[in-house]
Amino acid sequence: MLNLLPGDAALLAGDPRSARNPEVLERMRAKWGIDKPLHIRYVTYMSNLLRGDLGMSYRTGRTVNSLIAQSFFPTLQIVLFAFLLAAPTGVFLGFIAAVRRGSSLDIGSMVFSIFGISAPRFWVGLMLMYLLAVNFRLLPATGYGGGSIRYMILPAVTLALPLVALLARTTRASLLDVMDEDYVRTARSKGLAERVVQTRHILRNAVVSIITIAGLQLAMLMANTVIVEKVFSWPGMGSLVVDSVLRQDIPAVQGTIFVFALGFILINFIVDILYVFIDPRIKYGS
Amino acid sequence: MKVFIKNKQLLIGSIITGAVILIAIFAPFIAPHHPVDDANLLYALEPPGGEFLLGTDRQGRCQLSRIIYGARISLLIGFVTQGLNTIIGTSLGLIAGFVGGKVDDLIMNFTNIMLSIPPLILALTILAILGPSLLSIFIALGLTLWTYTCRVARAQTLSFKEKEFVEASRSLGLSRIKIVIRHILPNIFGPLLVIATFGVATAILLEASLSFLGIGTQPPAPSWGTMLSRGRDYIYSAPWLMIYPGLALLITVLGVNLMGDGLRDYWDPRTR
Repeated sequence: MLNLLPGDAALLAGDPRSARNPEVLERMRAKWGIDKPLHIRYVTYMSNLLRGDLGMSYRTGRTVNSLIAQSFFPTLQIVLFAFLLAAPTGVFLGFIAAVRRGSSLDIGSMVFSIFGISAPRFWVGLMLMYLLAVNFRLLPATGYGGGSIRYMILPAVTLALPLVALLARTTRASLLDVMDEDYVRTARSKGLAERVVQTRHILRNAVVSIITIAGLQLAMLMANTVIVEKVFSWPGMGSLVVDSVLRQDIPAVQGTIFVFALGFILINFIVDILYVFIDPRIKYGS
Repeated sequence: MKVFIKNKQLLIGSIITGAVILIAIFAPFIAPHHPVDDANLLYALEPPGGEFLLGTDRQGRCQLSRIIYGARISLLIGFVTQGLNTIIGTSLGLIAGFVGGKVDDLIMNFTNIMLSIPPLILALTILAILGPSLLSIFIALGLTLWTYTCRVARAQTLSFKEKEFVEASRSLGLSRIKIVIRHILPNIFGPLLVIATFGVATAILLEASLSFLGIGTQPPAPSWGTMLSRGRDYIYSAPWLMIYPGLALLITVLGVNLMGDGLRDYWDPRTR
């Protein structure tokens, strides 16, 4: 489908002088196989894909596989870092808000969470960069820095903030849902300590919907890296896909989006499996 | 009116959203300068204050005016694409819920596949195919955010399908289309409005993100996302260029989200 893109690879790759020479153009087109009709290109692409070959990038002249291999790890780094930061913080905030319902803690964390959801991620990133890197010079503003933690903090925190906000809201809502159930009242009335009721009865039952959101949000984190990586010039898959779209590098766009899609499928699959372990009421098959 | 006094989120959200809508409509009367034509290199990168309340950009254009006009683009895209999404999602959801069976399976499987791909990636792919333009953004966002509406519409339809008043109108011999339009649609209006409100906020944020990446609204149109991506280059010398467009975006999206929260409380007091 992406082959409908306007723009001719040969024109992009060759330098402008040679582009005027039809003979050179023909040779370039043959090199990438785009002189052949669409259906043949589709079959070739699919059969290469099955063998794990994503083709050649128009822009760089390197294989898409090597481009992705190079940018995969940086993205994984900040996504995992952000998730590890956000998941405990978000659940904790939501838990406190629900237990102390109506208190200033509750209102404070909910105000924070609606701001966290409404604020554009790239702007939050820019503001963090402005405050911490430009004004106070505590952290490096942009770049990869060989993957050192100092360079990872700003992009990861930017990625994590909206997730914290969303998880806090979800946790609070699902805990409040569970709190009114009969078995919670039973647990209290048989004299169990409030701590035990909160962790064993309330949290345990709310955890399924929390995990669903966390899983879905892990997928969203991967998507948001596209923006955050551009803000911080982080050399990951997000920067790769945006640069490729801007320069109409079709094989690179196709390849990166394919890997993203694989990631989403994998995450959904893992979340589905986790359910069975957490909630004995859910069973697959019969 | 009582609703507004009791429901503070709805009140604050409506005031903010209303104000932004008014600003967008009356932009030519409010803005002190023209957002594109009044470029004057003599006034390039002026800091906020004086004649230019929020400073000027590299071409010497008044940032306040550009932000005011930017509200037009954001709201236009937010409301038009969400309108498209609501029409697509509601129709598919109603059909899936009311007809059921194989049609339901087909529609819901497709919806779930779409739902598993984050909207930003989907919109990015569509824009890569169509090339950046205002029309492409409408199409890209109009085709990506309908899935939530579809799921809600289907779930609501299912819950009303077996109610007595639907049975009654069926036994009176009303056609299926009439039942859906006259009896089911008015009943599921509330939840759909809530989803649509949140959808407007999402669409506004997505447009800004795409423009920030350079594949959304194209310059010289004053889009907040584009302004922010330009502002990033001046983070050391002219930080006002990245602070204020983002603030405008935050306030607008916050207003719409608060309104959505308020509406949800109104229709579903249980979650309060």
